[in-house]
Order: sequence, then C-alpha cells, then structure tokens
Amino acid sequence: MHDMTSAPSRLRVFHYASPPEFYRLAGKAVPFVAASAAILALVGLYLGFFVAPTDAQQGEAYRIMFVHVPAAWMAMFVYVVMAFWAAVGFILNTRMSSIMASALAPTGATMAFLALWTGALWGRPAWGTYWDWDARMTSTLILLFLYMGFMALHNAIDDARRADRAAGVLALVGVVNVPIIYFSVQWWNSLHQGSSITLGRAPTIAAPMLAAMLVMALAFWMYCIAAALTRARAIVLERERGAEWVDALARERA
Amino acid sequence: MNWGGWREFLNMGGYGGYVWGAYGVVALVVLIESVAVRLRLARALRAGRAPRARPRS
Repeated sequence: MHDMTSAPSRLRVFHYASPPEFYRLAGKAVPFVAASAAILALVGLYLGFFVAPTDAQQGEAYRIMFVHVPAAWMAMFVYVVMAFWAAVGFILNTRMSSIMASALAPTGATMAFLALWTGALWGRPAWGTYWDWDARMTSTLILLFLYMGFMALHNAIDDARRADRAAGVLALVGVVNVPIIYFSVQWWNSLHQGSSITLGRAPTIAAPMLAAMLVMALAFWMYCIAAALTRARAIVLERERGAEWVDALARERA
Repeated sequence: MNWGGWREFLNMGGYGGYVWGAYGVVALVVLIESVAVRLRLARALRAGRAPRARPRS
C-alpha cells in the first residue's frame, strides 16, 4: 500500500548506513549533542545542589544520587543498545551496526564503573559499607566485566568482521544480565534501596530532587551519544584506512 | 538556596568527602573519555592517508 513511500525511505536508511555518510552526518550532530550535554549538566547540577532540599534521612549525602542513578541507568541502557546493534550487525551483516556496538562498549564500561564508584561512596554514609556482595551490586559488577570482556574479545581477534561476530555473540548472551540488575532489588533481599522511580507509578521523591535527577539523566544520555558517535567516527576511519574517501579527507586536513 | 557560604557548601553537612569524591571522579572520568575519543579521531584522521599516492587518472 505504501510502496511508493517506503521504498525510497528504506534506501535512504541504507544510504546513511554507509560509513562515509555516517562519518559526515555524525560529525555534524556531535557538536550539538555535546553542547546539550554540557548545558543539561549545568542545569542539573544547579538543581541538584541549590534547588533540591536536604534529605530528611540522609542529609547531604543523598546528592550523590544525581550522578549515581543516571550513570546506573546509562550503564544498563547502553548495554541494551550495544547488544541491539551487535545483533543487527550479526543478522544483516552491516558494518556500521557492528561499529556502533564497538563504539558503545567503552562508554558503557565508563558508566558501569561510575555507577559502582558513586554507589560505593553513597553506600558508606547510607548503609555503613562501601561494598556488599548483594544482587544489585554483584550484577552491576558483572555488567562492567561484560563490557570489558566484549572489548577484550574484540581486540584479541585481528580480522575486524570476525571480531564483530565473536564479540557480538558475547554481547547478546550478556543481555540476560540487564533485567537481573533492574529487578534485583525486587527479586532478592538487598541492601540496595528500591527504585524511587518506576514506570507507571508516582515517584517517591520530592519534585525538585526528581527534576535534578531527570535533567542529569538527560545530560548523561547526551554525553553517551556524543562520546559513542565520536568513537564510531574514529573506528570508521580506522577500518576504512586507505579507502579513497578517507585518503582524500586526511589529505584535506593535512 | 541551601548553603550559608563556600565552607558550608564544600562541607556538605559532613559528607563532603563522599559527595565530592563521587562528583570529582565522574567529572575526571568524563573529561578523560572526552579527550581520549577526540585524540583517537584525530589519530585516525592522520593515519587515514593511503600508503602511497594513487596515480591520478
């Protein structure tokens, strides 16, 4: 029925999926995405430190939440997106998809590390311990190891396309860990507190706190996009080295 | 506004070490990753030249 419109649009998707076109478009998008990340972070920090009130139970230590929760969300979300692109690359054999997966892994690992680090520094004043081998923390540590395993496996295989496939399988298998992290505080008795925000339910924190956290979450999101797109552009150039368009680009800049 | 001055702001109600330890490392790691991806892109661009100039046709 929509043949007339869907055929060209599908072609357009594949057009953007070509490495030179991706390189050009991502290059245009990154400055805007990075700038919005910076602006959102400034607004979020202002809300988090100057508008959100002191917490009745946790005093000022709770303000770690404004970086901890966004980092933890992005650590999980980036993994799902990475596994999605790995799967697309695996099934359709599209180069750009696997490049996106590779570009997302270090940023996801960064987010997982930050979630663990800020969680430890929040856990000490809130629960009296930096670390506990409970379900939430252990599964988040496994998430960090999955990212590192993905990168290590990819680096260990010389042929880029074979590396894409092997690391892609690892990424897909590791997806089971994401719902385990997300639901761990409900499934197991955990030291970690339950969610303050659950889809379809009213949040259990004050409005200014919620606003600060959501703005910071958007800032982290934009940051991850900017970092991953820049890395993906680098990977495109690395893999297409010697191609005429890369050669022309390099000479133009030299 | 929550704070009576810089000292109070930095002290974070006695939790300054935890709060700034968290925010400081987030800022540092984000900065390192931002610089690292840009350097990688610049390096890839420099290395992008074909090994030998192709004969122009």
